Amino acid sequence: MAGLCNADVHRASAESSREIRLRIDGISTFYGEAQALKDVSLRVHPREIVAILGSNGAGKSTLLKTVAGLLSPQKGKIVLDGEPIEGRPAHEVIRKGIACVPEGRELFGSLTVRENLELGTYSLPKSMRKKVQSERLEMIFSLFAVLKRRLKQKAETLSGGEQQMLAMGRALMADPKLLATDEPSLGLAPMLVAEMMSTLRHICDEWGVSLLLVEQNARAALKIADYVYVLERGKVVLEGTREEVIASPTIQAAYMGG
Amino acid sequence: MTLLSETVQYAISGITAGSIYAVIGICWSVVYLITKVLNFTTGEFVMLGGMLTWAFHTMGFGLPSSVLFAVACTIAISMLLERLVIRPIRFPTEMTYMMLTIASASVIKGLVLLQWGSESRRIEPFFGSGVIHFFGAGVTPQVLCVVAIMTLITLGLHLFLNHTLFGTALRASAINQTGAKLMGIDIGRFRLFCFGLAGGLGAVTGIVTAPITFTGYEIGLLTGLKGLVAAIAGGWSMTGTVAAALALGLLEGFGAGFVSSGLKDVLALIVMILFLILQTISFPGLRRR
Repeated sequence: MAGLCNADVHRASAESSREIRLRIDGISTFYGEAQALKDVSLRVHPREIVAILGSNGAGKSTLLKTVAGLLSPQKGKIVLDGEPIEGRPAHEVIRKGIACVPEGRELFGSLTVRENLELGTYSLPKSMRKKVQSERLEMIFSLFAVLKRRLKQKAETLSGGEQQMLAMGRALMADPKLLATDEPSLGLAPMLVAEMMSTLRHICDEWGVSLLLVEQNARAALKIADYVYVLERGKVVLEGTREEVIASPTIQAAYMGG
Repeated sequence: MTLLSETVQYAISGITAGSIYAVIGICWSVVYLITKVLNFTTGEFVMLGGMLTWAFHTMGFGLPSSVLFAVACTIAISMLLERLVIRPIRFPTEMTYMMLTIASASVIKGLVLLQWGSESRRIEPFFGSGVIHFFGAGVTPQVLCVVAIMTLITLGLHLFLNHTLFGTALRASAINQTGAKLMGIDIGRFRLFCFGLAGGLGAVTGIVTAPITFTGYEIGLLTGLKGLVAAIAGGWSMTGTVAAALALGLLEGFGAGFVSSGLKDVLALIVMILFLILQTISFPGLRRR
């Protein structure tokens, strides 16, 4: 009994001393009158993939836009590496180290693939851009080889899957600490979904980028996530490690098809 | 005058006018594509450039410093306009923006009238008043200077927009503002920059043309409109605007020369009406989702 207690205490202290990359405390976000997020809290640790699951309209994309600074929370705190960033506009949030691949990807359709990628370095200090650019481009081509062949093509001429890769690559050009991505599996063929998921795992493990992953495709997300939050109507209704969530009957029934 | 020399003469004045309309058209589209403001003060910047240079010059400043002060003042006025008139609007529509700039143009025009009266003003030519002969046609050094400066501005802008990260970022902001914000682009600062750029380029245009065409408080509207015609006819792209501006200038030059000089201003406006009917007034901002 005493031993178990000790183990628990030990785990708790390890947990608290472990640094937290992103901490969200009780944020509420409104669209006009409608409340899209209700008192949502979550944590992302370094080198961790945190998945946000939920059905359409659960508030997943709103959460991501709030983290990225495209929306401002009415109340609550967002802290990145100890620094509060809630309410800051998107163009400052990226400078703090959060890159975002939003819903709809928001590429620059009539610019070339190369120009889209180059703009990914815009948030970096001028002195670093050139160096980061050539290094990062190679790293990104190693993940998404197809982009290298498409460099001179306009972004709008790419297929859906290629656009998804470009959006991801463009966000990674900014050398972020945390990548927040909305439905990376959307529009991808089933085989490519698995590939995209293992790429995300690679980015997290090898590049040291934490991931906040919003997904409707729970099955795919649960393959790679370390920790999972389930949103329903703007609230966190379930959270836990991947194993805990997979074992949960609610998840089995609602998202995994029984 | 032979037919050849006449044709060359009209072509020269057409190209001169066209190069001016091109720069003014670019001023309209740079502002419109990034801020969605159809900026009717564009022509007033041209007027201010000429009038302020004249004013500083008559106050006793040398021509180069008068030019510098005039350009700086016009840039400042343009940026103030963005900060004090455009930005504070809480629920902007393209229509409110347009009405605001039309009103601001009237205010600027009125203040200039009040301060310096309604007479036409002239700045002395930068390189004397000799005439260079060319296929029987005459060209003043000032005309060459106008064409050269307008060409340099256009090429410079082209290089800037296509071959620098800042220029690419500007184009990106015109395409997708959410995407631009996520890349770290501060749209507010870009809007201010675009107004400043339009003010500066407009002023330079007004200054270099003042020795040829005279300037005065009322020249802004028509000059500005011709740039707008070029931007609309050119589909708001840079290449399109330059091509349309040159075509418009040549049309005016030949129309005025071979038919009647009274046609000059009418032609531009007829072109504008035709294009607006053809496009059923579709501006790029309205076409996008």
